[in-house]
Amino acid sequence: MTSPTAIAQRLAAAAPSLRAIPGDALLAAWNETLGAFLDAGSPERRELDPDLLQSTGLSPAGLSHGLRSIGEGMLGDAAAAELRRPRHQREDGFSLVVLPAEPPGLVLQSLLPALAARAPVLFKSSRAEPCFAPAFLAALGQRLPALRDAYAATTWTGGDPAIEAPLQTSARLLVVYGGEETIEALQSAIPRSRLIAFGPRLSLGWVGPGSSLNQAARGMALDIATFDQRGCLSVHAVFAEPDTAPGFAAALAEALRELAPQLPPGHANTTDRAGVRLAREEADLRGFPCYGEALDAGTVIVDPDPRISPSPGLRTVRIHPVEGVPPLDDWNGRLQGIAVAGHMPVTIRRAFEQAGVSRFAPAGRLQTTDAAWRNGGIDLAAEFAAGDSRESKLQCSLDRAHESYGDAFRRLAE
Amino acid sequence: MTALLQRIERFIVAGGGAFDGEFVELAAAAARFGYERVEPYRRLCDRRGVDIASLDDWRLAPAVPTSAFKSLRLAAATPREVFRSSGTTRGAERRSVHYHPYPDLYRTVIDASFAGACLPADAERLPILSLIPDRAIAPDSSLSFMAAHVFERHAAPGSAWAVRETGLDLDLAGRWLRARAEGEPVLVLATALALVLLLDRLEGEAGGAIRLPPGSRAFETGGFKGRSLETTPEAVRRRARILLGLDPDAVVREYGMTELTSQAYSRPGGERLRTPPWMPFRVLDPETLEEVEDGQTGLLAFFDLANIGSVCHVLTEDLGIREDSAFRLVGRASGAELRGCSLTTEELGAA
Repeated sequence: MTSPTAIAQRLAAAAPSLRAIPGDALLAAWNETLGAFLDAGSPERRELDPDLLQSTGLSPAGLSHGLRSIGEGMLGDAAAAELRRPRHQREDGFSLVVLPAEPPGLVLQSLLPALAARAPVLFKSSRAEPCFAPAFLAALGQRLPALRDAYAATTWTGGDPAIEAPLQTSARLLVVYGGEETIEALQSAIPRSRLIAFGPRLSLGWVGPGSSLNQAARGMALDIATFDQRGCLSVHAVFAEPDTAPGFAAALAEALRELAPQLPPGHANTTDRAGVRLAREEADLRGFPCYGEALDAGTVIVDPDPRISPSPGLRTVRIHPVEGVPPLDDWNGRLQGIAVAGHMPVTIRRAFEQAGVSRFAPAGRLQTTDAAWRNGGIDLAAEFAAGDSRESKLQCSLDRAHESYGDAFRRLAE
Repeated sequence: MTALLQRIERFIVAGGGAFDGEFVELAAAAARFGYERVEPYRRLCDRRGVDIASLDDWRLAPAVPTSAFKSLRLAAATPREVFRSSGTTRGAERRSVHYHPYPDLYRTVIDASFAGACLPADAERLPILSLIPDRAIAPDSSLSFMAAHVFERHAAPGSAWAVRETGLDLDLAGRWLRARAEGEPVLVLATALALVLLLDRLEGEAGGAIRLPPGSRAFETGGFKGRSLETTPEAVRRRARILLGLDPDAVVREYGMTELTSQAYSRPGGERLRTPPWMPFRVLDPETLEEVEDGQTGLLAFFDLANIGSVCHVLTEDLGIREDSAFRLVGRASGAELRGCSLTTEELGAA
């Protein structure tokens, strides 16, 4: 087996040939490959799914729905807009992307920007889910062989310095999805100009005035059930007005029940079932309304404490009645998205943005991202293209600041 | 109340007994006491229709999840000590608070269980090195309370605390251990992580290995926070043999938590933990809360008579397996940790 370092050396030299690939050819290969991976009946998926279902524990319907929610917004015009961006990596060299174990298909969110930047990348798949990335890259390489020299996915047991030290030293850019301790350790070891770290995050729901409770509940149920609540855009808790919180909780429990036949929960392990049991027992002790039947079928708890806590999983969600801005101080930098039903006042939206939220979407669409979504506000294509010259980094920072001020002025104008 | 507390103390001092007879009677009285004094517990029993007055089986008293200690004041009397958990993740996690009205009962528990599990035979006092902070540094840590009491009862002159405000003092620890490599047996008190850091330090020093006198012991407790991928209890024992000259039997693992007053200890050389005769445990199916068969995984629940100052029946976040009247820890319920789109089974090291 070729070592990751040897693979990386091969990739590093591929930047010039990548730049020579016509944009239309790249777009066609991307669309064909992604289309095949979103179609559960395609030969690619028929070959991949047994392993992917085994490693992810998702139900077949859950896997298909999850992949569509990540991938559908990266097809066609959306992909074209990304792939036709003018800034490309100019120097030789490779980047390293360390993928999370879940949700599956997340490689797409860094692969498309890397293709747009014509930046060679070595992807490290998680040992817990080693299937999707290599299968996708192999299929992409079949359609456009020139990509085979520029993109590869492999896996190794994380933390092996013999493998990782040379990669970390030689990679132009490291994009890492990791736990908080790993991120902190990497940040102290690698210059910020070469590291983009995505720590663990969760998402929330907001039910404001003017929302239809049943419609909001159906949408929120989908944002909870997609990927069985294992992604950073999965809703863990919902803020609702005090008057509507009890009714919304009942409607959400019903919506989760109705959704289950269409989107069955995947495999539930003892760890998760135990976590849900403890959440229900605590709710009972504290006298909170709690809806739920079997542990893996969803649990809705009305928790009057406005402070949020991570869900134990298995579609467990706490509804927090709040008036005004919820307390988010403990969650700065750990919130990803908000599923919105009804009106959200500007002050509330600003509070979420200040806590690091980078995505607001109507309830039911939170996990349905598209190619233009910038996770954490970071333009990965620009980062892949920029290299480590301070000038280009400075330009990226200025661009980001400009965009952020632009957004702020637009909202003020509204 | 005084009468019940005294009976429980006597029961503990006498070494408890089988979990029948007097234990059953004391457990029922303790559950009633909690029902009368701890408002959230009374409401829980009432909501579940548990007739606590006629309770004759401690298993039927509702168990309180340890997470409730993070949000509720579960005190049966005015607290004389307040213990707080250290937290296992940063930021948003809330800490458990145990309002303890009976610290003397805590001391009784330590006296009744620690020496038998952790001290060499016939050792009343011996030199102790503590890698657990003293109470001046961690006044609200139940582990520091325990370590302080162990010092008071068992420490010989020359014993030392090797934790400063700024953290572990591994220089002092190394010097202390080397100075006692010949002589009477010693005891090292440590969290699991502190012990690993000590072993790392000894490994990194030229001629780092020490041979502690025969009969020496190490007490370790807690998880390998941040080091769980590379560290197992077996690996720690192996390294302790090489670097400290300790037999595997000489490393005693303790299982305790802020929310409980009593502790379980490992058997010599093994992973199985045994509770004292006043704290039976059960392994429960998360779905039904019924006991699972031996060898199956479930949530660990304890009925700790010494927890009479709060609630005795506690449902923990730990997953375990019953084996031969003892239990083995196998994991933790999900819920405390934030994991969306992050690595779950492995991490990339920072080289």
